[in-house]
Amino acid sequence: MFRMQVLVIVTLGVFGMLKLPVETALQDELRPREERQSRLTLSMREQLGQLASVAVLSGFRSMVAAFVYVDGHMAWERTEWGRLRRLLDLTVTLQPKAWSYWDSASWHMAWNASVAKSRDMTIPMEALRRKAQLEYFDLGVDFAQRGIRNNPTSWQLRLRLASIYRDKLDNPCLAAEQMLLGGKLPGAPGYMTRQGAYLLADCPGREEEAYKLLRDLYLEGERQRLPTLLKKLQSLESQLAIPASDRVISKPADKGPDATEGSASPDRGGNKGTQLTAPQSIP
Amino acid sequence: MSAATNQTVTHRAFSFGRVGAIAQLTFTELVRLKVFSFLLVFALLLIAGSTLSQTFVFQEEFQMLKDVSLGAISIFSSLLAIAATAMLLPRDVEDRTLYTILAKPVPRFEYLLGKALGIALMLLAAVVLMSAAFALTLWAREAARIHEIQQGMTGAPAEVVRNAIEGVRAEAFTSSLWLGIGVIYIKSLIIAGFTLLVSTFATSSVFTIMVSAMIYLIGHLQATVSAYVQSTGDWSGWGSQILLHAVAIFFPDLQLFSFVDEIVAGDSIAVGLVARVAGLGVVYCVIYFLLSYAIFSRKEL
Repeated sequence: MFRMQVLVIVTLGVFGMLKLPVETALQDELRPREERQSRLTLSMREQLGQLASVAVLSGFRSMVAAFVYVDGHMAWERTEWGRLRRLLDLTVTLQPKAWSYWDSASWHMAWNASVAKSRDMTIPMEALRRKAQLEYFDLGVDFAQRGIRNNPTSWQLRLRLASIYRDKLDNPCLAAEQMLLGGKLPGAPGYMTRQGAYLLADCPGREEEAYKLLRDLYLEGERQRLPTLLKKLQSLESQLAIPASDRVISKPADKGPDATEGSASPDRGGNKGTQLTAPQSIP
Repeated sequence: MSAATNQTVTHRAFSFGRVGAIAQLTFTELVRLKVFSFLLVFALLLIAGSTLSQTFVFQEEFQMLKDVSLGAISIFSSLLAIAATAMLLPRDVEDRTLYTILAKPVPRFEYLLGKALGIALMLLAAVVLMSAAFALTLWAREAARIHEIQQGMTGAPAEVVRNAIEGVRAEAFTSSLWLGIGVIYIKSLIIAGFTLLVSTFATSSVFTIMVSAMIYLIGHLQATVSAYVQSTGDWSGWGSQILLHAVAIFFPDLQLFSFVDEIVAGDSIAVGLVARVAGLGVVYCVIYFLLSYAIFSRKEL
């Protein structure tokens, strides 16, 4: 019996040496080596607790991330912004490949927490409230940027980052950049490129670039000829003094309210005329 | 005397029929071990859990549902593999069933193979049932979300509604989901395999369960530790090196048999990669079975 046990151990050893390179190759193919490193830092361990730490190391990272995220949601409901930030940070560390966690974290910081700070009357001075608000904007940007690094093909995170630049930091140039980058990613909605072009039009010094983009969108067809696009295009044609023969939108309607705008676009056949109306909200 | 009574029955050295009978009996016994009570509890927890996540946006809701469900399928199948396999041989020895079967005569190889197949069938049934509960819940939540979209976007352009519905569908069921569940099943077979191996020389089922649980934990941790040591270059002492290599050689890398993180993140997993992982898993099972037989064949009962 002893000989048999020795034989079993030797067989396991030989098999182990044969399978080791196969396992290593499969692991390298499945997950980059840096992802396999233990990121269970001391601070994470303190926050997770012993059982959750064991669960994380035992291969249940995503499950623990889900529960931590739910905990973070409850912190949001209780407006515990500091705790919310720590829990969201923990969630994205546990599950960095899930873009929605990054998106949610960025949204909570840049919208919810920042607004809460701006209205926090326990902070006596307006300037300090504004400073706290800006810090949360920066946190929102940080989450979005880190999310993009971990999920480079996620258009949703580019959209989030662009929204922060546009709505919170009032920076149309950076917002345009993110919208246009996101618009090229697989699965991105068509409006992202259009939105990027609108923002580029508001970016000082990049009007020509914006005009070219808007013109190309206009020439794509009826689907892109939304009121805001037409308005921006017309505005840029005037601003850049585009020769009349090169314009795609005719001169401004100074012929009276009943005049219908003609179009010099190549696909005249399918165009029923570009009558400017009040701009609609673009998603 | 008739001609029929003069016929002698030829005893076959190997019989699929005998193996199948033992497998069926094993499966029936294991199912009656209230294993399906576990599944019922799991299904209820799953449904209850999904109700709680309705307050989140659908991407987060589906993600958490997949996180919890796939994690639970993995845990439960691993627990079942260890618990059911650990009790298999000791129970037969205690009930004296083993002696009756071997006296038939049923070769020890057929007996062990039948038992192993019975365990594999039970684990398959468990994984299928849990996956069905998960799929049903995910489908119900997907349908509910689509209904919400249709109700909330009445009057919106058809294309916008269609895009929104497609977005919901894309986040729900993915092809890699079923591949991942298949790999979880393979992992449970590997766990059953090394549990069977331990049970052939263990003196009690408690010992088998404890050792198997340790192998399970080591199997999950060893890849992480190995990657960490290699990245930091912390080769302090030849003893650590030998220990790390010994662990990597003697223990299966169970992290390889879990695609849960990738599935939940929406990554597409190459079928070729899954096939190779599954192939490695099958090789593990065969090796563990053969070693189990090697010990069991010489064991004094």
